[in-house]
Amino acid sequence: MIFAIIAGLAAGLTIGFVFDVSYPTEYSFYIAMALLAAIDSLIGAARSHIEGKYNGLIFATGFICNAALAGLLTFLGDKLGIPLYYAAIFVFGGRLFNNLAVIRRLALDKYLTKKNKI
Amino acid sequence: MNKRTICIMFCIALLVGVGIIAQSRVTDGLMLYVAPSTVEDYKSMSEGEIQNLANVREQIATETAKLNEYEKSLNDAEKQKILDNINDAYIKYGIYMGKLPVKGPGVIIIVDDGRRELLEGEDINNLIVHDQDIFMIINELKRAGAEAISVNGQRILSDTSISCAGYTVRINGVTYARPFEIKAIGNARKMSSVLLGPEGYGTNLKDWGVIFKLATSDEIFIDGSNDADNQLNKYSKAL
Repeated sequence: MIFAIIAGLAAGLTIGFVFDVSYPTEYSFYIAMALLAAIDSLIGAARSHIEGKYNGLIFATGFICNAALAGLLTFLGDKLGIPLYYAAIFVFGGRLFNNLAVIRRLALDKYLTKKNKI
Repeated sequence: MNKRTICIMFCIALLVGVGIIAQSRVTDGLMLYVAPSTVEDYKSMSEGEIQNLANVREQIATETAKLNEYEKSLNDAEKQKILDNINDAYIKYGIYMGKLPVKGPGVIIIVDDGRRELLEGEDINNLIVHDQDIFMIINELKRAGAEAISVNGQRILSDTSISCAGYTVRINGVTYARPFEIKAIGNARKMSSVLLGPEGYGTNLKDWGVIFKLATSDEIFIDGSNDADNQLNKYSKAL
């Protein structure tokens, strides 16, 4: 699964470099939010996979709901003149670090137990 | 871990990769963190502009209505006369302001840096064409009654500036290097005698070693000024 993510990222980056994908600048905020939601979901999935609690349905619904809410907040913020997308940035960003920390700990645990066994 | 989830993961990671690249391309340096006050400023500015635009549109509407009224009240012969008058005035003032290209008899002067060997300890500036040389020549031409003058194609107007820019000369903000081709329309004999006479500035330059060539011609073309910013009465108002 981790390999799938890394391979997908690599393939995506190459595709982005090779083909000139572009869209109007007005949407860049929304795209950024969607990107953040996707990255958050990926890291979250990786974490739950390592913890062994991964569920495809939870992952899919979480991804779609998060992306939708982030888009909605950005849109609402645009209309109200308040940078509401900060909320999404903070939540997603914070969760990224949290999940990464958990993954790191789990990986370290695994490594240490393996080492102690030997 | 079944194949489907791996597939989904792969797809999402792919999208993230493409998105990151696309985002970095699209917003390449454009996205800045803008303070709310700046946004407010821009907003009021754009609102002001919109108001201005509305005013101008209104003005256009009223003026068009007026124009239509006038056109209705005119017959064709009168219309033609008025158009002719306007055209004459346009040509007259266009030439006067240097906006229109003109032709006529005059002189073509080529000024270039001197090519002789420098004397022992001599200053190189003696052989270089300076901004002062250019405007002395222009002044002499004007003294001899030149009506239209251009330097390297740049029309010399009443508000033209000529300044020094190292080894080049800047005329109205455009930098020109040697050789300088000065064209002037007017009385060719008078102009050439003023410049090439015993005390003339051209003779003076030649004595220093600078290259100065003057040719008279029956038909010289001088382009109009294309300087759109040139406004004679930006600050000065009529009393």
